[in-house]
Amino acid sequence: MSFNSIDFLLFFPFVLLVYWFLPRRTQNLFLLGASYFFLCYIHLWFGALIFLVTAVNYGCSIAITRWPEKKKSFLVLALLICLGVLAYFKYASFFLENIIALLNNFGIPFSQPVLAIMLPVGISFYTFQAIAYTIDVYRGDTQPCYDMIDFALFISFFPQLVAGPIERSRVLMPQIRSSRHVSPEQFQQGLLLLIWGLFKKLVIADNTGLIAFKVFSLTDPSFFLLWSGVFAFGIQILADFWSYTDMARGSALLLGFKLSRNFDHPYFARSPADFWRRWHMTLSYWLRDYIYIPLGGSHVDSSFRRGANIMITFLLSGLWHGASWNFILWGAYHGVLVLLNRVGEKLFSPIRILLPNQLHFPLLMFKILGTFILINIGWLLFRETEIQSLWHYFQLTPWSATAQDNQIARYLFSLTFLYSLPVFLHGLLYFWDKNRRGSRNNYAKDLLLLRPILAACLLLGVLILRSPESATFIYFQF
Amino acid sequence: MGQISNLLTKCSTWKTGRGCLLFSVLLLFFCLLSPELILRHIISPRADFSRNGWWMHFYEPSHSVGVEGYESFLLGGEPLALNPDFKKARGYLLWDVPVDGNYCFKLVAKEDAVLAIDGKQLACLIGNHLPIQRIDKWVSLTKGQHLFQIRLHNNSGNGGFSVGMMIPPMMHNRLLTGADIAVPVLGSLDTWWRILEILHDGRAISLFFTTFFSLCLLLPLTLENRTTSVLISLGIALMPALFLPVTIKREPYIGEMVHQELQERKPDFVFIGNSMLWSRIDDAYLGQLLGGKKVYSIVNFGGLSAIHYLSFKYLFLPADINPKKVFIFFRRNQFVLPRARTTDSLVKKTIERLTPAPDPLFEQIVHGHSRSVTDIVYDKLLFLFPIAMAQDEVRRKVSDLALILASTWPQNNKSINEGRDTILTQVNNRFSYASGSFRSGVDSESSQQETGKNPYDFYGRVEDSFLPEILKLAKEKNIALVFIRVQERPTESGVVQDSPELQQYMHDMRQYLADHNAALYDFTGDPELPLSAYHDGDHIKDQRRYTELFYRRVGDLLQ
Repeated sequence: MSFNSIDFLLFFPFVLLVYWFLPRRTQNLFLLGASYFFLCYIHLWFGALIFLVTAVNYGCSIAITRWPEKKKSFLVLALLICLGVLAYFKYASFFLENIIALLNNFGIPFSQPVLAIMLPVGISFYTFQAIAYTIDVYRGDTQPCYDMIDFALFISFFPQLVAGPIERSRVLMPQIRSSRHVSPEQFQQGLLLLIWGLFKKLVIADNTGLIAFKVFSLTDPSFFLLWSGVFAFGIQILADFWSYTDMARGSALLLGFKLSRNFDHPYFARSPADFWRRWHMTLSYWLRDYIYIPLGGSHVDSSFRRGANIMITFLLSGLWHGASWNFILWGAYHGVLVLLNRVGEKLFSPIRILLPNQLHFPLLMFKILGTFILINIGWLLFRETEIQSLWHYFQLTPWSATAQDNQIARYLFSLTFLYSLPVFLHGLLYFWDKNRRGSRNNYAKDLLLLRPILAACLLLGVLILRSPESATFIYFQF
Repeated sequence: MGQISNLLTKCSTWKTGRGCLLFSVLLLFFCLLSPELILRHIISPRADFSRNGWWMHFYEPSHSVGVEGYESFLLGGEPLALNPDFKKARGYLLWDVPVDGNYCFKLVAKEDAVLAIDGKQLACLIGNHLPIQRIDKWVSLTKGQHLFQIRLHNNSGNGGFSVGMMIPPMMHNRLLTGADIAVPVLGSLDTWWRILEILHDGRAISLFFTTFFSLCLLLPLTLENRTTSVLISLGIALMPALFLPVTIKREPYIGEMVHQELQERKPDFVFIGNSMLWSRIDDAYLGQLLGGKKVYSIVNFGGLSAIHYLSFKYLFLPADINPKKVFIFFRRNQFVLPRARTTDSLVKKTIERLTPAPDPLFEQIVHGHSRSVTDIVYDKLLFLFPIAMAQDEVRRKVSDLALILASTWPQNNKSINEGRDTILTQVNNRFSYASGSFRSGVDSESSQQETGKNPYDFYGRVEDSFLPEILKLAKEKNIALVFIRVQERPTESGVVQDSPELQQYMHDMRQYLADHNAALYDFTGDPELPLSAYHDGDHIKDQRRYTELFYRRVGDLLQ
C-alpha cells in the first residue's frame, strides 16, 4: 500500500481512529495487525518473509543474552539468515547473470536459467533494521526485547516499513514500550508533514519524473537535453524519497511516535561528505556504525586502509540500492568524491584561514553549487542502467548539440526549476529559521500561525498541480 | 486591530486545545481569501492572450475575451507525442447581467463547443470537421453576476467559435465590455453569497459541508481532547469543498444523433477509426469511385481500441442498419493495449459522449476490475474536490512560465512570444513519436499504462482486450468486419520495417481474425506510400490519393 494511494486514505484514518480509543497494550497488538495488513495487502507472501526475519532476530537476540559464551554463533546465524534472504531475493539474478557471462567469456558455455524472483517490498530496510538490533544486543548496547509483539512491531511498524527511515532500537523501542500521547500541536505537525510529503510526491516528484522519463526515453539526447533530464531526475529522486520519509514521520507522529529525520536539505550540502550527512541519514549512520567503524574507520594507521574503508562502505552502499552495475559505479563514484574531498580539505584548509571575510559567502555558494553539480553527475549513473548508454552520454559535448535541442533543454530546465522551487524555498526558509530560532521566545506561537496556512496552501497545490500520472516511490524497489 | 491582535496572542498562548482556536481562525481566513484568489487567477477572464489561436467573439466587430490559451503540449496532462493540432480551449467569464430578462445566446462553431451558464449546459455543438454549425438558445437570467463557461475542443485543422447574445429590452447585438466582466465587490455580502452560490453549483451538499466545516472551526472553543484534533484535521481535509467551481456534468450522449444520420443515409460501408482514418479516406470520393455507393466514417480523434469498441457498440450497432462491411482502422499492436488513451481528460469526455452510461466491459478492462468500493470513494472525493478539475489550467500556466523563462535566456534575440511558440513547436517535434527517436521498448502511445506482459504477445493479451467483444458483437449482428492496419511513417531513408516481434504479432492477429470470420489488410510496405506521402506523424498528406489507393488495394473487399 502506498502513502499516496486511495487505499491508504481509507486505511490510515480507520487505523488512527481505532488506535486512539484502545488501551496501550492492545494498541501495539492492533498496530502490529495493521502493519501486517499493510504489507500483505501487496502480497500475502511478504508477511511470511518479514515474520521469518522477525522470528530469527527475536530468537537470536534472546539467545545472545542467555548464552553469552555462544553469542558470536547466534549473531552469525542471524546475519546469515538476514543477509541470505536479502542476497537471494535481491541479488541472486544479478550474480548469476554475471557469473554466467564470465564463464561464457572464458569459453565455458552455460545457458542462463530463468529466475522469476519477486523483490519483496521494503526488504532492504527491515533486514537492515533487524541486523542493527541484533548487533546492538551482541555489543551490549541495547537490551533484548522479550515481548514478541513489541519486537514484531519494531520490525514491521507500517509507516517506516517500506522505505525507512531505518530506525535503531534505542530510538523506536522505548516508544513502543511506553504509552503514547499526542498533543494538538503534535497532531497539527503530523498532518502538516503528511500534506507536505504528499505535495512533494504528487506535485514535485511526479511532474519532474515525467520530464526525466521523456528525456531518458530518447535514443539521442544531446548534451544539454541529457543534463536537463538528469537535473529533473535529481529533483525527482529527492522529492520522491523525502516525501516518503515525511509521510512516514507524519503518520507516525499522529500515532504518537517520533521517527528519525532522514533528510536535511541535501542539495544545500557544502561537500560530498556533507551530502551524505544530509541524504538518507539513517542509512549513512547505519553504514558508518556497522561497516565503516568495524572496518577501522579513520582510526587506522595507513592512509591506504582509510581510503579502502571509505571505498568499501560506498561500494556496499551502491550495492544496497540495487543489483546492477550502475549502482555499484554510483557507489564507487561517491567513494571517490569523498576521498577527494578529504584530500582537498587537507590541502586547502590553511589557505581558507587566510581568506578575507568578504569571500566566505561566495566561497560557500561555490561549494554548494559545485557539490550540487557533482551529485547530479552521480544521478546520471544512478538513473541509467545500461553501461553502454552511460559511456555514450559521457562522450557528449556541449558544442555538438543542435540549437533546437538547446532550446528544449532550456525549457525543461526552467520547468523543472519551477516545480522544484518549493523544495529550495523550504531549504532557504529552514536555514533562515534555524538561525533566528534561538533569539525568539514565541517560536512555538509562530508555528501555530504558520502551519495551518502552509497546510491549506499545500493541499490546494496538491489538488491543482499534481501530475496526472503518479509513479511508484523510487525507493520501493530497494 | 490591536484588540484582535491581543486576543490572538492570548489564544495562541493557551495550552493544548486552545491553540487550535487560532488554527481554526486562520483556516477561516484562508477560506475567505481563496475564492477571491481563485476568481482572479483561474476563473476571471484575462485580456488579450496574444496567442495565435482562439478567441471568443462576442459578435461583430469581434471582441476578444481571453480564452485560456490552447493546449498542444502539456507535459503529463497530455502525452507529449499527441498531434500538435489536437487542441482544446476553455474560457470563463463572470458577467454582471444588467436587468432581469430572457437573453438569447448564439453559439457558432466548426468543432465541438459547449456553452454553460452557472454550471448548467445551455448549448452544445458536436462537430468533427463538419460545416460550421449554429445554435440559438434562450435563457432567463436574473440581474447580477453569472458565471459563463465556454469550451472548445478542436480536433485538428482550422477551428474556432463565437458566442453572440441579444439583450433585452434593446434586442440588438451588444458587445461585452471590460466593465461588464469584473471581479465582484468583495465588501458586499450579496457578492459573497453569489460567489458561494456560483462556486457551489447550487448543490445542497456544499451547504452541508460548509456547515460541517464551520462546526469544526467552532468546536475547539468547547473541546480540548483528541476529538477536537480529529475534527480539525477533518476540517482541513474537507476545506477544499468550499471552493467548488462550476463543473459541466457528464457530456451528452451523441448516439441518437449518429443513429438518426446512419438510418437516413443507410451507408453501404462504415468506417471506424481515429485521425489515421480521417487523413486517409474521403467518404464522398470513395462513394464516387464505388459507383455511387454510400460511405460513412465514424471518426474519434485520438481514440484507440477502447474508443473503437465504444463507437462500434454504441454509435454503429444501435442504428440497426446492414452495411456490406465495417472497416476498422488501427496502428501497430494497439488492439492489445486496451488502456491506451483512456485516461486523459479529453478522451474521458469523448468516452462520455459515446456511451449513454458507463460500459461494464470498458470499466472492467480499463480499470482492471469492476467498480470497487475504492473507485466509488474516489468518485465521491472528486465530487467533494472538483477544484481538482482546474489542474489542467494551472499546470499549463506553469508550463507557459517555463516557456517564457526559456525564451528569455541569453543568446535569444527573438521576442518573448515568438520565442515561446518556437520552443513549443520544437518540443512537440522532438518528443513526437513520429520523430522516431525513442529508445526501444518506449511506446509513447501506450505511455506507461500498459506494463506487465510482452506488448507483442498477441495471444497472451488478446483476451484482456476489446477485440473478442467486437468480434462477438459483429457475429451476433451478422456484420462483416475488415481490419485495416495503416502504414506508419517511413524513416528518412524510406524504410518501413516491422520488428520480428511485430511481424509475429501481425501473423497471430491475422490468424485470430480469420478464425473469427474477419479480414485483415495491412498497408505496411506499400510501395505507393513513401515518406513524401505523409503530412505530420502518420497522417497522410493527400486524402484523395490515398482513397484511390485504398480503392485499388482493397477493391475486392469493397464489393
